[in-house]
Amino acid sequence: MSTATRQPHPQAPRQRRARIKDVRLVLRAPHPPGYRAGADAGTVGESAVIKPVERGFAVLDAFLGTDEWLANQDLAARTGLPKATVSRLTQTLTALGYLGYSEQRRKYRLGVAVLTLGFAAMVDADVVLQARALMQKLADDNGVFVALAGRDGLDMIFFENCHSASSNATVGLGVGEHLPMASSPVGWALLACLHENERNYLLDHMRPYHKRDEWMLLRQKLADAQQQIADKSYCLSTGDWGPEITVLAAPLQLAQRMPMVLLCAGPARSLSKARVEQRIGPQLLAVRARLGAGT
Amino acid sequence: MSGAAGNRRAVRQLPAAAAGQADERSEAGQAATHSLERALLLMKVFQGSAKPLSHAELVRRSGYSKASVSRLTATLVALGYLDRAPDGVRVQVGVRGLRLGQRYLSNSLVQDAARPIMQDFADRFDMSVGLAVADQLDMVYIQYCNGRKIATLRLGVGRSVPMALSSIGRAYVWSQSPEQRQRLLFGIWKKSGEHGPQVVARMERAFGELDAHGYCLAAGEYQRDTFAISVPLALGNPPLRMGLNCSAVGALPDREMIREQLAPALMKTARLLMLELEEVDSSCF
Repeated sequence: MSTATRQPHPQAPRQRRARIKDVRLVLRAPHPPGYRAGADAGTVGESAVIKPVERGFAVLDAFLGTDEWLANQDLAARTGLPKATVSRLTQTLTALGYLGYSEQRRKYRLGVAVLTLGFAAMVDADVVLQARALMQKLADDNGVFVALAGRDGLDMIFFENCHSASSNATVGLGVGEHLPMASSPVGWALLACLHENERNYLLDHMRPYHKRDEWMLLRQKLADAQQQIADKSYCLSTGDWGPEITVLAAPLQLAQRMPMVLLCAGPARSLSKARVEQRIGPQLLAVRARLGAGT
Repeated sequence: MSGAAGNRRAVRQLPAAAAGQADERSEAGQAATHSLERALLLMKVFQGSAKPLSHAELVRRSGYSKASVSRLTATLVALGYLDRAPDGVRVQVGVRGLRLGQRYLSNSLVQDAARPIMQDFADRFDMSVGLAVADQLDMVYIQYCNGRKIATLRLGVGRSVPMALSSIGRAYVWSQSPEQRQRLLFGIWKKSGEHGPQVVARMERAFGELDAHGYCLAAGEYQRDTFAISVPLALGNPPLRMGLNCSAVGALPDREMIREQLAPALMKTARLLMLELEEVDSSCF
């Protein structure tokens, strides 16, 4: 996904909001070495996975890289699968509409059927539809970036982003993009609201991706975030996500839904402690309450 | 579809003893794509809803055996496309597919070009306007714009509706060549089982409307208390057939309003879309 910084268009802030691809300021926390985006916490033993299914999805996942069009040999190189296997998979995926083929280019790209793999359930779920207007108002009223995120494996994934018309703050991530859970306040807020067993299970799987001292620091920050959430229902952190960036994150748990996190972020200088405590924090919690969530 | 069905038959007819070394590769290949196909279809039974489904419900909706639903579910959970629901028993759509859908849409050249034109109609009539392409025997919305006051119709980009039961699907089938139309109707007939004759009869009634007026209407069929008016259209170069509809919740407006205002405005929107995307390579949709 193009999270690359682009030149801002000073005249058209409203349009910019709709196009999440156009990112102004990239604050993404770096992935630890050896980290695989979306790496699953592995709830099932390896043997339970049906290999051909895994391979088919690996071919689809290869299209999440920078190139829109890929030929069979590109896919073989990216997935590490034999070319014959790849061409059989692309044939099937094309026949079923998950890939499109261009005769002219002799290459494949994603097809419309990938929308049936859960896009609607995630993006147009009622909660996101409801949340969108409330989140946008919060963003505009306070000049902050507002987002709704959930868990994907050991990462946080964004369901909905709202940029304020008046501010430059953004996290540099589009809808559907990832952020490692362990190293961001957004992930801490989610971990804080999980059942202890699940939290420990996830932490055990994140542990190998971090150096020892780094891990101790992250655990400390997580404990701090948990304490804050217990005290005031949201956690506040400055500088963990990017220099001079303040993030407020509140867990959002709705009946029958996966746990999510509602967050705002903005430049630290404009988010004074008093302003956060008296204005933005309560407003964030009010949005959460409107969405029907308790603690 | 027919090719895949052929594969399946071939696999079934191969006696286990005859699957010697020589055949192993091709047989394994067919079985492989077969299980992938089943996994992809299992994702569709969630019908774009975040609601968790039980194992029994998945078996019922997919028609697969209990054992294969278990194996497919375990695989899809491991890959992150499905998630265990908080109760630990049922499963729900995971977040993994969101990225692929998002990537498809950000690649698509239709999205941005169509939005202002569709939003204009949506605002003017305070209705929802959807643009859908065919996916097997379903129509999938690739763009969807709501009027300012409407937030109730539970559809949006990425959702799919059965071709046979929606006006947008009927308009799409109508726009096909006679052979292709027959092929689709045959598939729909087969899929609808005992309701086949009724379903196809309703579609043919819609074809009559389309022949006479160029649009068709459905009220309260797929979703209660809603109505939709649909027209076929073909966008891009080479033209790719799609369907365009406008829909709203509530009582059906009177025939005259539909005939004099809504339908002409919808057809005009379709023409504007065709014009806007005339030069665009439709393999990039």
